[in-house]
Amino acid sequence: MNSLYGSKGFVFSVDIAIGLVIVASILAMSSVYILSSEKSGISEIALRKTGSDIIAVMDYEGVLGTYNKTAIEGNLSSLIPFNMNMSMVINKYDTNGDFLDRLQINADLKKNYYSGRWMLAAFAGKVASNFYIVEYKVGFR
Amino acid sequence: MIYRKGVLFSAGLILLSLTLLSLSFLLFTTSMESSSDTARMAVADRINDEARSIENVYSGILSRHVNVTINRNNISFAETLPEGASENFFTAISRFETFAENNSEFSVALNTSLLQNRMPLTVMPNGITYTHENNFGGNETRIANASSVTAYTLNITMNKTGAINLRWLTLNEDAGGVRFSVEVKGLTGTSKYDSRVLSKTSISELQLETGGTQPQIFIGSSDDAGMLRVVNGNEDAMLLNITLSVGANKAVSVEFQKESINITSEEYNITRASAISIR
Repeated sequence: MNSLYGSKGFVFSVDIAIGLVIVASILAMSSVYILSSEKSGISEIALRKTGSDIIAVMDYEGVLGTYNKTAIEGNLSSLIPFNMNMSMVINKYDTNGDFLDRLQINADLKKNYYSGRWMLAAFAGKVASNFYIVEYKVGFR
Repeated sequence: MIYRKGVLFSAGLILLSLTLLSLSFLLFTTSMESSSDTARMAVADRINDEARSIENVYSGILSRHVNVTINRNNISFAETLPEGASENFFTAISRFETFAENNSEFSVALNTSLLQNRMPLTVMPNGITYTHENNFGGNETRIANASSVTAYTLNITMNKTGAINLRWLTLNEDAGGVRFSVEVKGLTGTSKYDSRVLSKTSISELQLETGGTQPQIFIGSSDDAGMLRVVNGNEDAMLLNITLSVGANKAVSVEFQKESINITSEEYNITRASAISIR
């Protein structure tokens, strides 16, 4: 009964210690998981929605259809929030769907971005003159 | 005694380990589901973007041939009747249809046959239809299912010199009917104006006496209350602007026929079906 390894106190203490370690681990893991998932979820939704809205506004305003690098970059810089970056590639096609040209707007984002696509048409009077596919990337600075 | 303690200790450890393992598994599956949901939401957003951009292109094509403006409960349609540039419309619609279907990252199905044949527009939420009876590019425009229309205002410009007269061939006035106002002018001469409250259920027929084939306007019908039909059999096109007022309590919008755009991600089993709206 006096043996160190046979004492009830030792077993109880070890049991409590292991229990505490397990509870602490679970609490820590849960906190890290919840905080990180909430943060990344909100960020990703913000990126998606902002990128999508910016490209829609630029289309509605007729800026993308100009296929003018200076005009598009100027308009984009006035729309994009200060903490975000956006790049895009505009692929130009004729109305038969044949590829004609490509225009890079801003330096291509290499990592941690959300990407999307947008189709549009340019008109000359009542006639559709060109079709475009915009592939954009948006990320945080 | 020591043996019994060891068994209890081991059993306790096993139970705790199982608990830890279960919680880890729960965390793992929740995490997997969460990342799968995030991926689905991203795909749904990309499909939504694609649908919006396609709708926008079609709205652009449409607005170059029939100009639709909405001001509260007044909806105006302005077009040339018959539309001489209808071939541009057909070409743009069908070429963009092919382009979108070939270049989408999803499965895109655009149903534009009705759009090309009759270009039907629907005023929502009333369900009033604005169609072209003898194909778009033909000589007849019809507004049907129009019992909720309270007033029609027509502004017509004929590509004619000389006098244009308005003559009622059939007239059915009704104080509880629809207000009908029309102003017609040619390239020269003064404009002619008439305004009456006509029956919605008995037909009234107005003829524009232009000297050539006489354009006609029909208002009201026993089987389609409030109907309006404009027929221009004249070889000269007319600029036709029809404003209809509706008694809607909700916001009014104008749509192409339902489900003209279908975009599907087979991988995520997501489908978006939509009409093209002009609000």
